[in-house]
Order: sequence, then C-alpha cells, then structure tokens
Amino acid sequence: MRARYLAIWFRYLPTDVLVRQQPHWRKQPLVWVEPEHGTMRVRAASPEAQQEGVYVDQKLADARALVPALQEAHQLPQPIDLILHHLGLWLIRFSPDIHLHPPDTIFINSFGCDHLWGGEEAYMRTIHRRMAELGFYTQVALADTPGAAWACAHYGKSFTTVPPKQQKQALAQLSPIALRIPESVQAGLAKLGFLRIEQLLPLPASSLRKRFGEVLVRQLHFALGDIPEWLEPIHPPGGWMSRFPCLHPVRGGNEIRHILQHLLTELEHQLGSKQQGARHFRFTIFRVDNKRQSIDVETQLPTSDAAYLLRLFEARLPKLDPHQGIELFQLDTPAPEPLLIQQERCWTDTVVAQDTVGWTSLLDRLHSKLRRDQVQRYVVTEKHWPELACASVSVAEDPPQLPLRLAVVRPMCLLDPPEPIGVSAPVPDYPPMLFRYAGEVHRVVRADGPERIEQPWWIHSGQHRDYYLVEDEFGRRYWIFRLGHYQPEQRDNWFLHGYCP
Amino acid sequence: MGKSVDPLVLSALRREIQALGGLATPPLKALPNPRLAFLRDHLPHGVFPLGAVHEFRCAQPESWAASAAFVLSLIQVCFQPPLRLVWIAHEQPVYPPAWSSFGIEAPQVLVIHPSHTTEARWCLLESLRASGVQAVIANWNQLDMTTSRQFQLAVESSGVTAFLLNTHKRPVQQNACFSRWMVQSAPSVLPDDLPGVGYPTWHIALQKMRHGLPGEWTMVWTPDGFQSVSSLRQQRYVTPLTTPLRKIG
Repeated sequence: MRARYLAIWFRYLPTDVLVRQQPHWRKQPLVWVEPEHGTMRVRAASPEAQQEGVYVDQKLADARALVPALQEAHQLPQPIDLILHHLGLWLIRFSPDIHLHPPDTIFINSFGCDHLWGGEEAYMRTIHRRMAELGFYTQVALADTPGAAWACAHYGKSFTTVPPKQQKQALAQLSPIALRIPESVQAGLAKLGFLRIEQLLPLPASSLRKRFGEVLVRQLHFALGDIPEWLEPIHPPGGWMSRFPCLHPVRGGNEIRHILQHLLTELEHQLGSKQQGARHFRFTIFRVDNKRQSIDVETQLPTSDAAYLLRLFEARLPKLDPHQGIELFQLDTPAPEPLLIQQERCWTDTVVAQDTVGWTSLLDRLHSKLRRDQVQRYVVTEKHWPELACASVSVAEDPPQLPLRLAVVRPMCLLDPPEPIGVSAPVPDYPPMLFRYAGEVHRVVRADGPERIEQPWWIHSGQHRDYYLVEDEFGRRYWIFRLGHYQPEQRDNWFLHGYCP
Repeated sequence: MGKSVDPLVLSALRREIQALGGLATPPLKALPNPRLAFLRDHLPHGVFPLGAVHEFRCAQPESWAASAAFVLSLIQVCFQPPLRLVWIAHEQPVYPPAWSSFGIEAPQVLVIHPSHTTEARWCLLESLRASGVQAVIANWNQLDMTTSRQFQLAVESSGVTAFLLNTHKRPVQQNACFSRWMVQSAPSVLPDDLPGVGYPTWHIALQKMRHGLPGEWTMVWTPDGFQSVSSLRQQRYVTPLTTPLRKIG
C-alpha cells in the first residue's frame, strides 16, 4: 500500500510544555535541567536561551554565567514520552495512522487524508498552524518514507514536500546524521570525508557495512524506501486490548483456559478500576501456522467480571483448534463504556435488582451457546393470516405493546403444513358433521364459524380459508379450515391447522 | 394419652418437615389464592407450590394443547406482572397468538428452540437456575428419577417454577417431581344450551401432590378465571364473541 509520511518535529518540546504550564516564561531564556553525576546539566533550552549561547548538556553554572536572567525548571509536568503520546492522540483528527518516534517526532501517514485539507501543502500548514496555536513550535516535512521525512524535517527546510519516489534527490545534499545514525558512526564518516549522503550512495553496501556497521546500511535503506520501515501505530482511545505471547506453542485446552482467565483478570483489573465495562469481547488465537481464530462473546449489560466472562467463553472454547500450537493470545474489546452502577451486595436482595441481573445473565449464557435465531421473543402482529400473525423481536429490549386484542380463539400449536382431513360436510358453509384424521373419526358436536380469512392479495394470491372451531364428543377441539368455496363434489380441500385448548 | 399439643407448634414442625421434603420456600406468609379455591384442600397449606417441578402428562396432541393452556392459566393466576417466562419449544412448536386468551402477552415469554435433546437439557437447567425467571415451560419426555431430581434440586435453590409437559406414552414412572397432573379437554357448556363452542373446559386430574391430596375436577376457564361447570350452567348470559365477518391479510 502506498504511504506518505509527514514528520512533525517538536523542536523545543520540553520548554514549550513548560511555557504552556507557566505562561510568564514566554519569550524568556528558559532551560530544563536535571542532575547528572552531581552536576546540574541542561537537558533542553528554549530558542531564546539557545540564541544566547546555551546548549544542551551544558553545565547549569556555565549557562547561568552566560545568561544571568536564565529561568530554570527542574521538572516537567509529565514524562516526555507521555506528552508525545497525548499529542499523537490529538493528531488522530488528521489521520488514523499515527506513529510516535520519541523523543520529539511524530509521523503521520497522510495518504488519502490530505485532500480533505486541500492538498499536501495546505495539510502541512494546517497542522503547523494548529500546533503553533497550542504553543508548540514544529518543523514539518512530507515524503514517501519516514526516514526521508525525518531527515528533511530536522535538517532540511520546513514545509519540504518530497515528491513521490524522489527521496534520493531530496537527501543528496544532507549530512549523514540526517539518517538517524549514532554520533560515533557520523564521526567516523566525517573523519573519512563523507559530509553528504550523496557521497554514500555509489558505494557498495558490503563495504559500508564492513566499515561502519549494519546500522548505517539499514538506515540508508529505510530512508530511501528500499526496505519498509515498521512503525507501531498508536491506538485511538476507546478500545482495550491485551496480549499473551507464549515462548513455546500452546496446544492443551487447560492451558488455553488458564491464559484466557489470566487475560480476563487483567481486563477486570484495568477496566474495573476505571468503573468501565464492555458488551462485546473477542478472544483471538494466533497459531504457529500463521492462521488465526477468534471467538466472540456479547453481553446484555456492560461488564468486566472475569469469572462471569470466563463462564460465557467456556461454552465456545472447544471451537478453537490449536492445530500445531498457539503462539499468541489476544483479548480485546472495541468499546469500553461506563459500568452501570452495580448495587452493593446488601441491595441485590431486592427483587427487581436480582431479577434484572439474573435475567440478563441467563440471556448472555443462552447467547453464548446457541445461535441467535434459537432464542426469540415474539409479538402478535396486526395480521389475520395465521402464519403471519406473529413475528420475532429483539430479545434484549421490551417491545412496544400493540393495542391489538383479538377476541378470537387461536390454537396452542399450528401445524405446518396443515394436515389434510377427510370430512363429511353436506350443508354448504356449515361446519362438517364429522371428520377423519389419523385413522380416527371425530364426530362434531359443537362448532363455531366460519371465520373467513383471505390471503393478503398485495403479497401473494391464493384461495381464502374458512376456519371452523369444532369440538368432538369428548370435548377435544380442533381448528380446521376449508380452502376456497364450498363444492359438494370436492372432498380434498379440508385441513386441520391446529389443536385448541 | 398425654397432654394436648399446641397446634402452632405442630404446624411449625410440619413446615420444617416440608422444607426438608423439597418445598424450597415454605409459604409462611403466603395466603391461599382465592382464584384457585377449587384446589385449596389439595395443596400444601392451600397454596400452590411455587419453586417446584410440576409434571403434566399429555400423550396426545389434544391433551398437550389442553395442558399447555392450563399451565398458562395457572401462571396467570399465580404470578404477579411483570412476568418473565421461558418456554423451551423442544419437538413441539408454539403459537404465541394463542397465549393472550390466557392472560399472557407474547413478549413476556422467551422462546428457546434447541436443536437436540442435549441442548434442550442444558437450556432447561440454565433457565431453572436463573434467578430472574418466574416460570419455565418445557416439553420433556425423559422424566426419570435422576433427571427429575436434578431439575427439582435446581429449582429449590433458585425459586423458579417449572412446568414440564411430558408427551411420552409410557406408563407412569416414579420421579422426583413435586406434582403430577393430567389435563384433558372436556365437553364445553353453554347456558341455555345455546349453539356454538363455549369456554375452554378441562378435566383436571391431580394424580400426585407432595404434602397434598390427589383429586379430580372439571373446570372452565373464563375471562374471570376458573369456574366450575355447574356454576357456569346456572348463568343466564354469555358475552357474545364479536368477530369481523371478512378478514384479509
């Protein structure tokens, strides 16, 4: 897949954060200092301090001598990596694919996103402006590879856009330090007169590797795009995931269950401490043969109860096939949500709370074992045609009550399809005198009807049915119908459709 | 003979014995249900035992329909809304539009369609153990001593009432169910010998009731509840059923 990486270099990130915290330090020479071997050394300096000659790793005493009005901070409000992570999360509005490169750079994969801001140039300028509004000075550059973008942002001009597949030309004039190589390697290169990257390009990789080590060759390939550089994207807030890697492939059912229990306990601990739960959980196994399988569990109410979830998962665990072994387990949930406030133990004895919990947990267990269509609730629909008179509805929510109340008798079970019966019906549009079904003759003593029900002609056409409720001499009741109009010579249009109480 | 014993002490002792015999919650405060007056003398303390397994023998589809309808009317009489019922429709389909005649709305019932007997047993046991369910109706044919004991123990801890419709044709097996019923349709009665079919009428045979007595009745289920045939015969008027003449769709 094609990619375009935007490198955002937060050049003065620590001091920018300090200024955001203490606005009166704006435009002041400011340093962030930390003790090192008994000496206070400068870890970061603001642009104003750097103009005065203060540099990183300088002793604080020297810096003070240089700039008498120097402001100093001994602590950042948060660790620098965490600050970068928060910035990355904020930047998700510009692209879903964000990668952190500590200590001070963020890569954004802008492919397919920049047109929303009017092209790559406008995209870069928007991000730069929004960051400046937040108080962060940034230098940005866009290229096909993270390496090239990083080099241009740090050592080229800001707002550089490297056209697709032009990394070589863009990097040619830059110093080899722009390849993100250790200073010792850069010093070795400078000693031999390699001051620009273009001088390295004609040399065979084997010679470079021999003299300067693997890192130079690798970083050169990364920057030019010969080898794709793997970056870990940051996940948007919301989802929760935990993984359990195994050194040796796991095959046994007990081990799988034990690992699942471990992951669920972790979930309970992490989500439960934030008063969060979820309704949808997925347990995925990654097998050694590069295949993956997953099982899902859904609950009616948000939960993070490990023991409860383990019970739900247990019904589906046999579906996992370890084959030659499993090397990685993953438990994730897409959308944690606030836990409904659970009543304290002493209150669960009240009937309502107990009933709701018991009812929803029964639904969860049934759903974990059966198919969706095996657990149903029905409503009586506003239809006369018997086969269409009821429809299934959502199990979880209470359906609206329909005002329809039919004051008619319906059978306790409907025969599907209706069973043909032999009748003796001498009088037109009257119930039969007797009917024969399954080898038994039923003499009709009492009867109600006919109740004529026609086909819904807007759906399908066919003959109407004339239903009779008949009672035989033992009081047994049957719901029978005649298909179509009465015809004295026709005997095969009578059917039994159900048993009435 | 010795002194007379305080009847209160005696009744307390009886309740303790009943608790040991499977009545999970001895109905200390429960009052006899006036709508089940005809059954009163045959029930333990005159109260229909909830939290127990009741077996209904119905080998024929006609008696299955009568038993299922009788169970629904019992539920309507014994439980307070909001109702939460489970119907395990194993080997016998259900037709929800029929339930409204017995005071049960279709959405109050969770219908489970298991694909085989093992699954049906699992569903039944899970429903019997669930505390949020009031009653479970299920078709169950293999009701031997072991299975019924398992069900009875499950409901004793959860308080769910189970109505098992046994459609097997075998002779009666000894089992651990709290009661055994046989409900069959009986000829309906209309006042003044009017034509047409009357209200559902059943011949109810209570063959076994633990801590109670067996008995037989012929009862009519009317919109006002159970009535005896003789009392219905004395009534002069019935509400005519008003049905539209022509129905489409």
